[in-house]
Amino acid sequence: MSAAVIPTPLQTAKAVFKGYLPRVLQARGWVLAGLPLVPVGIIMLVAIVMKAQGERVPPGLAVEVFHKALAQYFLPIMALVAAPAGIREDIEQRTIPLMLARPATVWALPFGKGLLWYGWGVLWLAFACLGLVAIGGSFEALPRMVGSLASAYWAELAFMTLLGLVFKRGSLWGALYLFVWDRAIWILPGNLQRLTFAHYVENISGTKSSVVNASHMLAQTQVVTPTLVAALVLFLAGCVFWALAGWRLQATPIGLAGADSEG
Amino acid sequence: MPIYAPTLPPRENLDRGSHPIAVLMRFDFGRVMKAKLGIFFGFLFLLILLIQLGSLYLRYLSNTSVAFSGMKDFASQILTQGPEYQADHLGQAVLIPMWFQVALIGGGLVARDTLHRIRPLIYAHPVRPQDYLLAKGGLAALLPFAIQLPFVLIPWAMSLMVAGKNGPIWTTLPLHLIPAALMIAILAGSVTLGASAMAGSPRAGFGWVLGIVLGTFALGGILAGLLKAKAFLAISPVALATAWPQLLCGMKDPFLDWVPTVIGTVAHVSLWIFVAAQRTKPSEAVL
Amino acid sequence: MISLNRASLRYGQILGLSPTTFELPAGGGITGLLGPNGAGKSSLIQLLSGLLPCSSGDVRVLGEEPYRNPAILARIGLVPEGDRFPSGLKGRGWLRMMGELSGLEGPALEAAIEKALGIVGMETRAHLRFNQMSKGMRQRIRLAQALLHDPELLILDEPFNGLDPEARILLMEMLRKLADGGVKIIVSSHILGEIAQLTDRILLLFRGRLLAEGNVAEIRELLDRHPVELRLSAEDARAVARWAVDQGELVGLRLEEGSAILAVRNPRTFLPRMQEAVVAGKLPLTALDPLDLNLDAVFQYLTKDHA
Repeated sequence: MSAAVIPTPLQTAKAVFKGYLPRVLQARGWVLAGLPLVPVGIIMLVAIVMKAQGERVPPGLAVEVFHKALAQYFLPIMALVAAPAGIREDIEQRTIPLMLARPATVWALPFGKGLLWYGWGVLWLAFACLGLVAIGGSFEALPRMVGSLASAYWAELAFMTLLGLVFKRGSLWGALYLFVWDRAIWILPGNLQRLTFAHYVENISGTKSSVVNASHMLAQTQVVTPTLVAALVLFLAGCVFWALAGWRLQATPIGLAGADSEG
Repeated sequence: MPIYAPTLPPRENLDRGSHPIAVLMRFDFGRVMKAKLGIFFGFLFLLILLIQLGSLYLRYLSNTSVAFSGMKDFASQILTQGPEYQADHLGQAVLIPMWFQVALIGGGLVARDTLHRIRPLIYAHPVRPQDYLLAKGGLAALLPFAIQLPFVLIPWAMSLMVAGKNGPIWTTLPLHLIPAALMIAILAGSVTLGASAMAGSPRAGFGWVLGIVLGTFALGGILAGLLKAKAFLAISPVALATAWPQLLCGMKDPFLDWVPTVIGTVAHVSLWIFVAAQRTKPSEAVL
Repeated sequence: MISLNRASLRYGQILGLSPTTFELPAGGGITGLLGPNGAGKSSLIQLLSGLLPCSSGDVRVLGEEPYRNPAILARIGLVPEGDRFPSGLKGRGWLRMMGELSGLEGPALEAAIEKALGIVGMETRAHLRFNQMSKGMRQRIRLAQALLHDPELLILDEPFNGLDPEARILLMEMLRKLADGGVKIIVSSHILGEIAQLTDRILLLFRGRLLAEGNVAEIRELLDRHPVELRLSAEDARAVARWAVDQGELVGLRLEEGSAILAVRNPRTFLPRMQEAVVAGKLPLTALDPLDLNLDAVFQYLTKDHA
């Protein structure tokens, strides 16, 4: 018999990350890659055709695509698609007992698998931002655009993972938060705006979504959070969500037939 | 000793009992009913319906009550009028929660069978792929239709009861909005069917539906703005669903015109039914 | 090594395992968990393997509570029931992840993978994706993952389900070898023959209760009020029947062509006497066939009594 070895949390996360690495090169991985790339690619194509025909591409197009397509829709959709491919997938496919029966650190499992989908998603978000530069976005703004999407994706993916582990209908509550509450930022007064992901995306990217317009009857003045603080808030929020997701998995007894929290 | 050719037993009478489509639909319907989704969405839809009925009553009062006569002009400014008001009974307020609910339920219809490898068992019975598809698609369309129906019939009936033919709601409203509800239901049903067929689990199915619905809306909006052509919004099922009641109520400036709406709807319905048919072929059903 | 003290397991309102008490001593050997579907075998396995905490009572494996206890889990290998694997992964890659989750790294991990694959005979086919493997191959990979970290206790839930006869024999041989090597093995099954062939110790479960514990013969001894049926074949079956009646141990007698079926109250005293009679030439037997001195009969008696 070999001496019992207990992997550290880092080793656990690393093992899951490496073990599931081939999954990103399969169907769901390419869907995730396509989510930010396809809209930007289509807009790029249209912009190229317009230029070829001598038409002027609107100057604010990149910012509009960044906010109205990437940040408001495709980023949350990516979180919605990637979160069920995380540890939730092992619960649904009933493969998690094999991991839970090992001496690994249980709370590190959601993070390890989530990190894989996070890294893969950020890679394609960065490419999508490069595409925005190609349609007239400023190159100087590129780090802030990538940074804002990467930070928001970090927090949103962790948020969706946590909801998936806590609630039977976690995807629904997450979707309502990201697509209803977050979209309502322009009518939210004062500090309530700070409870949206969109607020931090706008403050890190340094640009505003044109949705917020004083001519709207219900529009509210948008509060400002310094860029670095906004990035820090999203990073910490993500860390807290990952930690809570880990705690939830650790505290939920999951047998061979699944768990109560399963949808 | 004679050798007899093998004979087959007489063909079994397969006409006994319900049709497979009815059996599958009944099973899924029972599961949906047990899912306890009704509480949240039921409350939400009830709230929207009450607001609609309140608005209806306000219009009635502003038209008939002396005490409210001073508010008539103000009410006409803040409340939508004419065909726009009629079409609003199936407006965004109803359709957005409807998309969420059909995503949640429809997204799991086929995906659940995929996750638990149920389809091989279903096809082991006298169920043809088209039966399976019709049963799933039928339920996926029935649900949004059932959600929309009260928003057409209840305000219409209330208007008739309180004000007769001169009420704020057209007496012919069901003739305009029930076909619209049907088109929306077919559209929503086929999108959720196709999305669910592509997913490996109900949660992923929910993600796929929302991804398709919201992603195309965002893209359509940007393309329409960039190319200054509203017709590009027709790539979005959300936009198509919004346009149908407006078109059928004869709104002057609908979200989309007839041609893109019809083409977009036909394209979406064909595409997603094709996707679902490909993904639910018996050859795909491996144990 | 394993002790349960009034340990029970509930799934909400459903009782998976009634308060159960037993002990299994340290050392190698195979213990069979036997019982029909829904008897509580998987519940017991989930308690022992640390997947679920007990609802009441106390479970000790290798001296400690196993639930979420890495120190104990590092010494246990679990082969769960079912044919579930993460989609899209290959056998060897998945084993590597499982090994790393057991704290193995570098050359030690690679050596452990090769060793485990060697034991299950999958060295040349572990590069395949799970959906390219046969059910038997996947079962072997499942066994390999449990062997990676050299566990002291190996728990297998219905490992023979879906395996062809040859694969079953190979798996049984594998398990016997492991047991001979000092690994304590717990195997569950509802197929009585499998357990009878494999185990030297049985825990008999029925409707969430532990009915009996011991080897087949010991359990049979518990059944005083159930006589053993023996078929004694002889050219003169009547003479055999006459001799048996004279012994005063019979509770039943039936004559068939060329044989007498005896229902004997106490085989422990009856059988030696019969042996002596045969040796002395008083009993012209050609064959002796114990009709119900097997696990099926024991199982039927016990479950009938407790149903």
